[in-house]
Amino acid sequence: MKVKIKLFVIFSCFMVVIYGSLVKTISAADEPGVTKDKIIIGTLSPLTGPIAMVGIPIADAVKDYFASINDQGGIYGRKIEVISEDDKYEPPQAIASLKKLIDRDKIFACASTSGTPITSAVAPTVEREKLPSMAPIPAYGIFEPKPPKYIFAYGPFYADQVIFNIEYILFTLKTRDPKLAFFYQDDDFGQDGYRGFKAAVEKYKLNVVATEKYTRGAIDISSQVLNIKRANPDFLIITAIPSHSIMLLKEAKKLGLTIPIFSCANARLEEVIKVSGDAADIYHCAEYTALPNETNVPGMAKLIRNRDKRNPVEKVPPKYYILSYVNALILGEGIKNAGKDLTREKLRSAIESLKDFSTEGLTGSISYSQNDHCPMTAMRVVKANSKTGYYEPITDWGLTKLNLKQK
Amino acid sequence: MISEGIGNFLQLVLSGLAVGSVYAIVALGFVIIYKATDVFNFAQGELMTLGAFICYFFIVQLHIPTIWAFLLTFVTTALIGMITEELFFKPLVGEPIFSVIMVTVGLSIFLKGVVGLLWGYMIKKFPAFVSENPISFAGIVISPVHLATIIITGILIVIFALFFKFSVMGIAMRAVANDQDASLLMGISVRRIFGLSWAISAIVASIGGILLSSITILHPSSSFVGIKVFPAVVLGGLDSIPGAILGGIIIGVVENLAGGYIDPLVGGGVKEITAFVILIMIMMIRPFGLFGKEEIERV
Amino acid sequence: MRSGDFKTSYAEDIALLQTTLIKVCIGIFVISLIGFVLIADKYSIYIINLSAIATIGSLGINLLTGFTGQISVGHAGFLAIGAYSSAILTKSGFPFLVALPLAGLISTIAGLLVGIPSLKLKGLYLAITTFAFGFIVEHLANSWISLTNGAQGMEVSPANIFGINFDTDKKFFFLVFPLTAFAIIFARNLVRSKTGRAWIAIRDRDIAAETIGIDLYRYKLSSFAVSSFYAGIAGGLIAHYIQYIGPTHFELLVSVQYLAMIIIGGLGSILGSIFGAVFMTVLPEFLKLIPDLLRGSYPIVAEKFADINLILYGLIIMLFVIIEPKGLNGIWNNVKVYWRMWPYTH
Repeated sequence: MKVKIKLFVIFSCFMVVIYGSLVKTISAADEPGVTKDKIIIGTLSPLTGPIAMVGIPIADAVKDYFASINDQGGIYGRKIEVISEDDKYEPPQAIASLKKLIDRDKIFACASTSGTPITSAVAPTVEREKLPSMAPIPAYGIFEPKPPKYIFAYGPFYADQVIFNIEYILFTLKTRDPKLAFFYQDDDFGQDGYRGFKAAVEKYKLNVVATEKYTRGAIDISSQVLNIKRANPDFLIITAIPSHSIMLLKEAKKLGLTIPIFSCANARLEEVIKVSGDAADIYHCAEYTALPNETNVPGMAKLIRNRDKRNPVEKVPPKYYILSYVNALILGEGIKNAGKDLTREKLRSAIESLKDFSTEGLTGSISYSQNDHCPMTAMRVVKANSKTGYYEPITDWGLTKLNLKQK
Repeated sequence: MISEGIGNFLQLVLSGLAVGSVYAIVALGFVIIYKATDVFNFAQGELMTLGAFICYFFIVQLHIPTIWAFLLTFVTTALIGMITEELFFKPLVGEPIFSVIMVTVGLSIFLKGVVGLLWGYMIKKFPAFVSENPISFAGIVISPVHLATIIITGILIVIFALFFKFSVMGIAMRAVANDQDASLLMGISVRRIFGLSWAISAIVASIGGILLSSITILHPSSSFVGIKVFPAVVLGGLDSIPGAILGGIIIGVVENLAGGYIDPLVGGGVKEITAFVILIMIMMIRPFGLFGKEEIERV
Repeated sequence: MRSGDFKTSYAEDIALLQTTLIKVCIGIFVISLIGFVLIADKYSIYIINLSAIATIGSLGINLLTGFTGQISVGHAGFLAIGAYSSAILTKSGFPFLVALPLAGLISTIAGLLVGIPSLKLKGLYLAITTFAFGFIVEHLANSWISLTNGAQGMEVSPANIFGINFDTDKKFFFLVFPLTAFAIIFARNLVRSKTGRAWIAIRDRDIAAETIGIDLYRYKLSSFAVSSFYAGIAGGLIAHYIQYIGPTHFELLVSVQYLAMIIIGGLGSILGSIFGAVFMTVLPEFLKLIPDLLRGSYPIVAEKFADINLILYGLIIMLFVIIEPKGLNGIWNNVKVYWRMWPYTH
């Protein structure tokens, strides 16, 4: 009998603890995340794991930008607090983290929905919660054919970046009948680049001599590069992640493959130049943001100033920092335009009404509409310079002639 | 000058040898622990990465000359291996094998966090210890670091063959792998052998990590190569050290040849599944691998 | 000490819940769980739902690995097959009530196929075969674009039964909970039955089992079949809950997580499967709460917490297994024995 009583008591205590924790969770809030003097913004990105080199700068950029806004008094007297969660780049984990941000931390909006597969996975939750969110990566699969109501991004899709590179070859270099080779990562990211490649090849009737691919995680691409070399192309277009761009450059140098290589913006990292050394001198990228060494651009100067307040170890703002910073700019502008009486709906329509929004030179101008939540913004072709360790623009800002959007 | 056809073939084989050597080293470290302690070490890839970063730390952050840095790395990782064994695996002697495997899984997550915390996730360049200019002869090109990988793997094969055949420690390890109880009866300190096998495996792992980071990049994601261990050790035989090395090399070469000759015909995608096709084939034809011994279960 | 606990009828003897105390406790648990879900926030319900689905999956793999001793390192493959089957079937117009069991069956067929090598292979070699299976499934999901939409993944419509859309966390709980309860009861009974005993015999000494007349062929295959059916159902549920699946949802890491669930929970124990599933689902969330506590006093630690989180996670798993290799179930049994023997704790 004593045993039974003991077990009963323990059980009841357990129940009490559960109910106790409940009290905290039942709280009323008019508009979640907004009080008289505070707005809570969340970010979701990989803070650990291999993709953390992308995810950490994404979170940092949002924090730094809103810190600078707070220094100027906030928006309508409200200071912005940023809470960052780690999604470990795993979809179920990401959904849990997002729900924690929404339900526990009561965020008002989300400044980063992490990479493409994560954004796809959390999209149903975002839409259901009516949470205005910014996606750091312009992903075709998410924004076409019809964009989600509450998620916004900016920038050309990988397909468009590939087309931009090809049009540079055709119209700026004015190469007649160039022989092209294409190298890509075998997943949705690389396949989007391939989509653009195929469209350009069809439209401009181009000669493709080799197409090679690799899987994420491969430690060797030597046979693919050898095959490309054997086909004797004039130019190599790629859609690959930075680590494999580095491997490609090293292997190309080794095999004596010296043709120009054109990559997408995701691999426009200074690390690529640093690790590849002079092998990077044939490396070009289509890029749609300003470069960190372009300190004369007002937006970039401000970005560097705000970033330096935190005294970061890396002196050069990483690419994904710049990308995310612009998202924070857009979100901040949206919050401002939504007015003093702030609601999620007003924020959403404020962002959607942005037209010709200027990021002070960090990107081309950005305009949203009901059907376009990821407008293609202007790009340039930039070339790596192994002596300076930076990239330099070799074209002007522009859009692609061949537009894959059916609008 | 050799013809282009043969030149391409040799080029593919040479690159394959280099990659295969990396697989071989990973497999070697894995089999050493498995043979001596029956432990399936899920954390082998992370040990590699840790070794590479520790070496990076010595060379770049402490400015220690390369050779000394390597030696220091070996000593440090050997110590880490022994401490790990002492802290986490000694208490598990006699426990079900699953539990031990789960500890290696936990260890791999733990090490991932440690490496990330200490060195961050930006791509780094592993300081080159050989020249960066490719060497070419008779129309074939090889980069010095690939050549170094092949040579070092060859040296390791010889060292380990001699070690296990002739040295007292080596023979003791083989005895423990064969029959723990009999070894105890013969006066071999099984505990010390366990610690030694983890230490040796850690050293091998750091060699592999240094070579892999030199060939590709220095980044915590390098531990991903650990997956290729399975096809390599199955091909070679789970409890055979020369088998593990040979298995890795064969897989590296066959992968590259498949990539060079079959991929262009079918539009790619064959190279990455080659290793697993080999795995399945071996499992069906000769499950204990090229050099493994068939396990005869005594009733 | 249990006393006055005697059975007077055969029905009482084979009843699933033996004593009044257990019945009452389970009753209170169920009622409080339902009560909690009715008033809790979505995040907590999400965790509960995930734990429930994980329980179904971990029951499956425990039946295979814990009870029958067949190591499976590719369990995510069965989950993937179930998830994609259910998604594709509902997209093709099958109602959810039909699609989900069908998905389970398709997964079962896969399980039977994978089970065939198990007749010849044991231990590590079987583990490697199942691992290869998991890898093949992931590769197929990635490359068979016409069927699975490849790496981009598929959108899945929410579960829909007779017009009711289970698209919120709260509603989904009421779908998942009865399924999980049923899964637990079925597994519990299966394990107590002739099939379960045959499985345990195979695990302990399969040659001896064969000698006493247990058909290894039939029972190993049935173990794979039931286990993959559970996994298929779990996969289908995840697909309709998250409403989006991609090949990366079912990689090696997921198989390892399920193994962790049953090892930490307790191999060869139904209760252990539940413990393990809940533990592995809740642990990362619990660790996430720590930076919130620290944010006030140690903001720098809170910033760098993601890596410390990993370190703690790995460390907790390691220490757990070292301290109690029999897992949470082992600890639970120790507690029970302690209470029963009190004050004679030795």
